[in-house]
Amino acid sequence: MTTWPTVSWAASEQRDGVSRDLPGAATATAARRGVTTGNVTVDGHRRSRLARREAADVAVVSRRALHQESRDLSDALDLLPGLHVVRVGGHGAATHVQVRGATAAQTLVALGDIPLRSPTGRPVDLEAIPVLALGSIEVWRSRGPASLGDTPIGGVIRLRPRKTGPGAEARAGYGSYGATLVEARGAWGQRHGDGGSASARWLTGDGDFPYLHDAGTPLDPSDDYLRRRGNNRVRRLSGLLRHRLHLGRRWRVGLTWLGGWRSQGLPGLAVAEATRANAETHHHNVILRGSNNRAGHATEVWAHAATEQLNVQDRLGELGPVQARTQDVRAGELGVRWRLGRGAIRPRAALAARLGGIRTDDQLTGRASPQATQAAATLSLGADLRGERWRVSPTVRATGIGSRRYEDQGWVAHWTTVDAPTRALLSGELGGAVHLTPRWVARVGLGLANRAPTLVELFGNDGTVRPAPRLRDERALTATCASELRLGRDTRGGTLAISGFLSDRTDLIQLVRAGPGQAIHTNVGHATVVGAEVATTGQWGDHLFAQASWAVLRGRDQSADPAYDGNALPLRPASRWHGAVALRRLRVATHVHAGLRVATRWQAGSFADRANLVVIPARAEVDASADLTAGHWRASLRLDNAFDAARFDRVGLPLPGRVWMLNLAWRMAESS
Amino acid sequence: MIPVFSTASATPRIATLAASLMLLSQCVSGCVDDTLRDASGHKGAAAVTAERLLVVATDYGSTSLSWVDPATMTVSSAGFLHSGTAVSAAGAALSGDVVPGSEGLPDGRFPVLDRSHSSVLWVGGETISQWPLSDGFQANPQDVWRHGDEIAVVRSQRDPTPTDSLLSGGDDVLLLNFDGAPLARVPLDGEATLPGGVAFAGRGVRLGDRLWLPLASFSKDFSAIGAGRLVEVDLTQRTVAQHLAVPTLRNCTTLQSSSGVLMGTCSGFFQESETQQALHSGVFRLDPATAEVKVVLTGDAIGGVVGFPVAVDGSRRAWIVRLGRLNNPPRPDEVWRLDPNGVDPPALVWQGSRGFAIGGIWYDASRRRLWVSDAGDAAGDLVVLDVGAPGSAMTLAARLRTQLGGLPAVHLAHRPAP
Repeated sequence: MTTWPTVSWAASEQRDGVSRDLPGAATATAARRGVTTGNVTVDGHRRSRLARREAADVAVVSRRALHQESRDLSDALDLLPGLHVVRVGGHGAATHVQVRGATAAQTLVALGDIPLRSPTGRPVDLEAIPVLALGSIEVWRSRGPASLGDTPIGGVIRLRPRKTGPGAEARAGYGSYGATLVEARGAWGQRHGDGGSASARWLTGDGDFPYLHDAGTPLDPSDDYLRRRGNNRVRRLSGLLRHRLHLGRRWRVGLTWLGGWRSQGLPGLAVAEATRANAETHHHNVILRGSNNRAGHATEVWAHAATEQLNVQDRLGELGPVQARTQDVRAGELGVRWRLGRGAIRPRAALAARLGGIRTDDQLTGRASPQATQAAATLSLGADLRGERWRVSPTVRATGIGSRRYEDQGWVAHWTTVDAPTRALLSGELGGAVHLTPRWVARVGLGLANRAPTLVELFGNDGTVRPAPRLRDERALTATCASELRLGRDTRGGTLAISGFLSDRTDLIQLVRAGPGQAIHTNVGHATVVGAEVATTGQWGDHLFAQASWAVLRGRDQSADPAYDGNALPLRPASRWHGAVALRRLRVATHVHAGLRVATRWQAGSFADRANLVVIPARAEVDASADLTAGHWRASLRLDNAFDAARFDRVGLPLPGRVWMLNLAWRMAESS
Repeated sequence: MIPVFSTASATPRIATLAASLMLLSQCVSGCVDDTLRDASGHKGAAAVTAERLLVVATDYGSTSLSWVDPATMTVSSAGFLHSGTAVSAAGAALSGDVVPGSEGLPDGRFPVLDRSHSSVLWVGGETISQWPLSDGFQANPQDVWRHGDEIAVVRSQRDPTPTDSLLSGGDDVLLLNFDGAPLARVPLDGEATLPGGVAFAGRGVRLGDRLWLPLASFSKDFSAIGAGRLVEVDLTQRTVAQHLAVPTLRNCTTLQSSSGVLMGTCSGFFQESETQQALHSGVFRLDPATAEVKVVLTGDAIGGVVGFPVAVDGSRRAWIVRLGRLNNPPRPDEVWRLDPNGVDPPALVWQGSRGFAIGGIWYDASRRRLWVSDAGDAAGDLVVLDVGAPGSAMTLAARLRTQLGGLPAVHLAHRPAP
């Protein structure tokens, strides 16, 4: 019988090879038995080797949660407490994640240990990631791994690719509003030796869902009518290719390519829908890594080259001024990391340098906008200290950033440069963990994070956004605490994770209107954000699972402007709740199993504006899914928002109501 | 090491704990909601019978409307309607880009234009009504006047996908009846001074059957701007009667009248250097009888760019705003007094709190007071200056705090008693 991929806590710990030296090894051993009998353990707060080493509180979305329930990346992340996934369209539309009340720009997405960042500051679109290529997702809240070279204000979404190993699998889906999905992955070689994998994802969606339109008169509901969202079609193709080689006995070299293409209509706001505006994006990331482990000294060198091209076409001016622009983004990063893997004090260091540039070509005028470049270097020093029942992990980081804009005065090849002040940033974090009992871990952390302004924030976009080269960096000082408790064993047990944080954020950057059709990025003040998250999971026998999480967030504007002082930060619901009950692996015939899952989500109301006048109402949704597994095949049906509650994350940009998706998955052989 | 729980009896405890937490969190969640307070602002349905100043407070993200009594200099109805009054997936009651119109209906209802939503809202009457001003495109309406039993609305942006509907079109003057039904449109696209561009008419003045409008004349991608121009629209014949050039100036946006004196402002091109923009910005005076346009002042005379608002006190004096900067280095907005005849040199009369803070100025001729909105002034976002007779000293009459719902006053419009 083929068992579907099930990753238990213990399995990941065993793979990471660290369970043996942990006080909780007995629990790990017990859970390992569960894997061998094909049991599925529930999601919870588990830690990767990296998270364990740095004594960090990290939530993990397992491969089971991603694949068995045929979720998208954004769906899976949206269930974690402390995360808020913001969508601006239907199936396949760009999706970003906010962590603990931070903006998407203050949240870093990394592929393994390589940060994916754009000089434009555009956040990584989660829908561009092939889900089958992922082994798990780690969510680092209020801090990030020391190896990344950044201390983001919100946190880090660390996408961990699956281990290599022979195998193949595919899935196809069809759903409401023209949603289709085809995804495949093939892997070759040996799991711990040379080998690789290739994944591809094709996604389409018409996005023509109905919504209630106010006919341009929001105060007069008598003329409201049901209208379908138009020009909202999305086509996407993305892929992830990895190959790893062993060179000699000590060196391992890996090459990764992550790329994609997206073509979509730009429907605009509901009050003035566009019919023909569209955008097309290409992006490519090539990552080369070499690692050496000798006598406890782990050294890694890596290089990352990224290109992105964004082509926006609105030749009719449906979204505003007529535009036909191509934006080219190039970025490169080199880094080296070293770590001592032995002893009670394990020092580490990392050095990275990066260079990025933006150039925009206006196809209407034939003009190229001034090019802007940014160079940065980061030195990171830290150590992981460990005792029998405790760990402490301090890291300090120094970053220097220079930004320059090249301008052709009068378009006569008379080039001049404009420099933004060179900035030096100091950041760092201190994490500590204590094993109070073999099953109970407490953690504390303190982090000083910052975000330097992006090139667009500093130099504008030569259109509606004016330059502001003297912007200050956003900074945040955050204290965190967390506790994780595991109960039970084998197939009866559960987890309870509680965490809290207090963050003081200053010099926050916001786009402020400076005249008709003109806006400028400005440091608008500071905010205090306090929050707590509770996540609990439970398993009763082989079939019944339950999961619940709750997050509260209190974000307050501490503006120097008395008009905003004390207001709630916009687009940040004060509370979110999620609960799910699942029946899994119910035998219905020989080699045929069924599963059923019902989940409910509740999200508090929030304000769409800084003045706290425009309310995005609270919403409750019920989702359901059912699956049938037979040998290598599995079919599943998902129904999201079963009661068709009206939804929108941003005023003027409606979201689909009830949606369904039918998935068919096939898997050739057990792989990692 | 002592475990906290015995694993043998853990299962029922887990079940109890998990179930309790789920129930508790769901119950408590309902109470943790920032929006659980009275956010309704629909207090303005009651008629406003006396003379009032309509204050549009906005941070360009959301908007609230208030009535101020110009006689007592007090806020009479604060935030009677705001963006959150009605919110749906399709939009909010008011966007962040809202301006008052010039003339209201005979029953006292006064127009408020939502430039993003392309609609006009009528406030101050027994009921609040809202009319669409486009068939689904961004019409960007700028001003409203009443002419007989018709309403004239100037729409500055063009419909990229025109239809046969009268609400289609754009870049025109749209005529409607008092029920909001479209009657006709007077196209202005032929008046653009930049070939192939949009005329982009601004806020004008109605003199009897004639409507005088300043034109900005942008290219469709707003990357270029044409020469300044004024057009005269015959509202009876529904045609453009004539056009006049505004020499040297660009981006003409506002026209105001007082005692038969018409003065307007042009603000230059925002994508030029500040020096160039100042040279192309200025104040002009229109003599409708002789169809003569005379530039009274250019921005370089006051060391900066002339902003959009202008207030006129007949041929005696006028006030304009010199735009400040947000950085490089920061410089506040300033209110300058000038001589419409161009004889006396301009004089600085008031300094705002920061750049792009002064959104509107209004001269109360009957009380000789100048009202200035200052979005960045924590002490009071409405400043009332007692300017007295020409030549007399100016004094600060009052400072009002109208920052309602966190929004500062930006635009001002006088609504006379019905």
